[in-house]
Amino acid sequence: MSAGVAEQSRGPWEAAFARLRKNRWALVGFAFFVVITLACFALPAFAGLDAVTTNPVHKHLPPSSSHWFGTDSLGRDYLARVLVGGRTSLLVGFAATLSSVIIGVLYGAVSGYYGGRMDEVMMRFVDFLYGLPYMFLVILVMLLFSETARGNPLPVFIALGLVEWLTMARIVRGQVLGLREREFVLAARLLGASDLHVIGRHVLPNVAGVVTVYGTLTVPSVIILESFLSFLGLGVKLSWGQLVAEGVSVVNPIRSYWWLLAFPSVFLAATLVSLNFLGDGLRDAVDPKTR
Amino acid sequence: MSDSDDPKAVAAKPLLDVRGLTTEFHGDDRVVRAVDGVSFTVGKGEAVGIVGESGSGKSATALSILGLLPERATTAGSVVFDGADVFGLSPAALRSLRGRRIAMVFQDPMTSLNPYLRIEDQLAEVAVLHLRLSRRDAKARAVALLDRVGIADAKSRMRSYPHELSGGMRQRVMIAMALLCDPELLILDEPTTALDVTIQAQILELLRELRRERGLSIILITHDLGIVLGLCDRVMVMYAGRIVESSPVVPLFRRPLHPYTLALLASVPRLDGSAEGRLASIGGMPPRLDQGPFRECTFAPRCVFVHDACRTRDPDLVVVEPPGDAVSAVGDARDASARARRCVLPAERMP
Amino acid sequence: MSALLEVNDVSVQFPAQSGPIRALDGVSIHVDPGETLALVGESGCGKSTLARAILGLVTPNSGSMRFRGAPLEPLGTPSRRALSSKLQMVFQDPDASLNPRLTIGASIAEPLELGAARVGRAERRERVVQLLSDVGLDAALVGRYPHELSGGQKQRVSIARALAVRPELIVCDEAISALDVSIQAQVLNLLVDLRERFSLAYLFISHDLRVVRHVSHRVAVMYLGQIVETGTTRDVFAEPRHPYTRALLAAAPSLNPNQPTLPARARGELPSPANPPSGCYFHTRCPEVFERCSREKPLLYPVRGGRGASRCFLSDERK
Repeated sequence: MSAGVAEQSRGPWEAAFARLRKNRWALVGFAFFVVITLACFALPAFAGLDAVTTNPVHKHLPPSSSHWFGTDSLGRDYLARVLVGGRTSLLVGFAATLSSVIIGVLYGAVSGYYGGRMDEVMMRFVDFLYGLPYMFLVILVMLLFSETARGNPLPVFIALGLVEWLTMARIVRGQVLGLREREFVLAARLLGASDLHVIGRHVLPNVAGVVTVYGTLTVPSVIILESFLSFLGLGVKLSWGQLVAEGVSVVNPIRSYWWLLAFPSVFLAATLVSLNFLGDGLRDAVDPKTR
Repeated sequence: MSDSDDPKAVAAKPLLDVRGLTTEFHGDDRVVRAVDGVSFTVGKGEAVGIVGESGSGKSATALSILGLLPERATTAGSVVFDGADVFGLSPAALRSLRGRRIAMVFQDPMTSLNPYLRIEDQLAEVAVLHLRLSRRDAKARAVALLDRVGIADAKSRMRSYPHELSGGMRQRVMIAMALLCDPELLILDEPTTALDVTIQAQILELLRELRRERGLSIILITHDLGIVLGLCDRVMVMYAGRIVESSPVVPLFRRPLHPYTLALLASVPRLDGSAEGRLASIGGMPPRLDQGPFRECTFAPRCVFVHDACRTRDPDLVVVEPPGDAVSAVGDARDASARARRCVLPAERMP
Repeated sequence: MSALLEVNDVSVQFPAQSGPIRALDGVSIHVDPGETLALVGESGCGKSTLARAILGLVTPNSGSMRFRGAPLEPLGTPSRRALSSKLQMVFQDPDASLNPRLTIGASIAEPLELGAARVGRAERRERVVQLLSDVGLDAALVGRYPHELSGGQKQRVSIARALAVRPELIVCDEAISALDVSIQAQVLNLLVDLRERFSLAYLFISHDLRVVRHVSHRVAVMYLGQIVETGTTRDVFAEPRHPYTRALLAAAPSLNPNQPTLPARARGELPSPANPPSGCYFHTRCPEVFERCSREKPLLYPVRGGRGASRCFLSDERK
């Protein structure tokens, strides 16, 4: 700790990033994730891959130099399918996470800050929702929108967001309850700040770290959920889950079209693991044991 | 305050002999030397105070002696307890030493006591483990001790959980636990800082009595000079990981020999003396302990008596009284009345 | 004489399973402009509760509190907001007093962005630099974050923030207790300087009598939710009338080798506010206890010709 002027001042965010940068596993996870994302979004256009054109003559071809991942039941290039499918999975993952974060943070912050009866009622509501078998709820929502669902990922976002915001709300509420009693929050209130100002200036920035960590860890769980839905046939048109489902459906003891199952599974698993490494690294960076 | 026999004879074979104790904490990109070449002795039945502010290394010294440092710390130097080299002991032998012959009481009893166990279980555990007593004998011994440390209605109190007791009572329990195996040396790290002032007074009185009764040697670590005056025979003042002054207690208060000691005494408001005027405060801040060997006196940037000479070298701890024993690298209290200081400026120039 | 802060017969009770806890029991104090009143006491004496009540965090069950004659409302109400430029507070824990996400400059500037004391951006910057200088800190600290500062520096920043609105009264709740000894002296000196320069009044809450003697004009000693002695600092320290005050004074370890520390004068443990003793609350620990003390509750009797008061039968000067 220096009283001198020479040292570069490090805010809490910069300090956290510095710690993150030292975490090899987190960096690896981050790198992998970036590579996968770029591949899914940029590569198909760049390399002129075609995920759509069917070519029944070339169906079920194993991986080769012309089709790196082989072809599927309709002769479509599987590499393209996997990459384009990835876009959906990733988009869904992020969009649903984002919506759950926004809802969860607002809900949790209000509940925690005001406390008392409001907090009790709000949290009981959360408990109630937790108790519902959410899988059924999600499936119900999907079925309700089944006509529009076939091309439109929106219902999926809603369904998944509905599920994930609960945990975020609880986490944020817990943090806010603690923060509310901290002296700097009291000081702000004493200065005559409005509740909105206090929450925006003092409370939320100090939960941002935790929210980032758990948000990052929510993405993989949403992606899995989406995959599961797709597997059940309730998902969006083309995603990793869908591809895995297709891969499973053609499993038979005579001819194994292993590439149909292997590649989407590997991509899916790699994405999940990378995000988990990153999330763990973020958690350590944001809340270091030695301070 | 030492009312035993000839201090020279008693201190001739010190119970604890620490030489050149140096402890470093290894962080990600730097090494902090928290304890830098600390040497001192504690005689049988002697009470020694280690005084310093935060970052002075006083707690780290005690933890180093007992081998209680975290993994990323390295220790050098030697610690000899009753003739045995502590650093050379096997882990089992060290464990046996701790608790049986050397006991430690920490500042916050809440973290030292297991919140899930009743007091009697925690105390009995210590006795059973170290003294091989039967459970019944262990409990009887515990009750007797709790009674001695002033816990009213000890027998029923034993059944309480830590959180049911007040801070003062918890600290008394900690003292009882420390005394369970009749240790020879008791190390106390800020034992009363977390307590209310009237309770603090009671605990200090208790420590004085216990010391008389049992001939305990004591190391008392604190930032409060007043407590040291009330309990200790000798004091060592620490700054930036080193001992800067070592002296019998009354002479230190009468006439401090190091500018830091002087400043410390001057910065504490008194109940006697003038209530007006500014308190002498010490400007600036303590040095960083990761900057490697110092080329000047560590206190120089903050010292009111600073001279050019002070910036040219890092002074050693030198015995100044009795004179004649002019240069010694060790602040040795084999002569319990010796006074040593670490300062470039001659002692005569101090006010 | 118009007191700045007037607390009249305030009681605060907290509900609890085993019955209500009386954290404050008929407490009356006043602080005049420019003067420093110290509230002294140990755990459970109610000084923190009193501070919270004055700040509007806790609503008293009975009694009244006024600032410049106007009643004090709970925190969050408009009248309390208007008060924010007159009544401020400095807390005990320097680490928790500053938002770790804001720079020092932003923390100090915040009061100047809100409400009555609001000023424009340019003037804010100037004022922040001026305030840093007032509390003895380098202007370069403006861009730093709290974790880069020492405890003493953080506490100075908290003081600067409190000063920004040019208050008339600052509540110092154990404001220096968490600091190192030599730093305490620095910050104490600062508080005294600022008091002179800005004509500040302080409500100085502390458990450390030595510090209190140095900084306050008047003292109120509290025990288990009650005021047990009041008076000018000089009087109370020279001639304490209540046995608890005497016990507190005796307990402070002496730094004078010619004057050893006196033996402890209060036996036993501090009673819990949930279960106060009968009669005089201090009787269970009092070295001068007699029969009446366990039966009757003593009142606050005037002593020293009305210049002070003591809640002890032995101080009842009426014949």
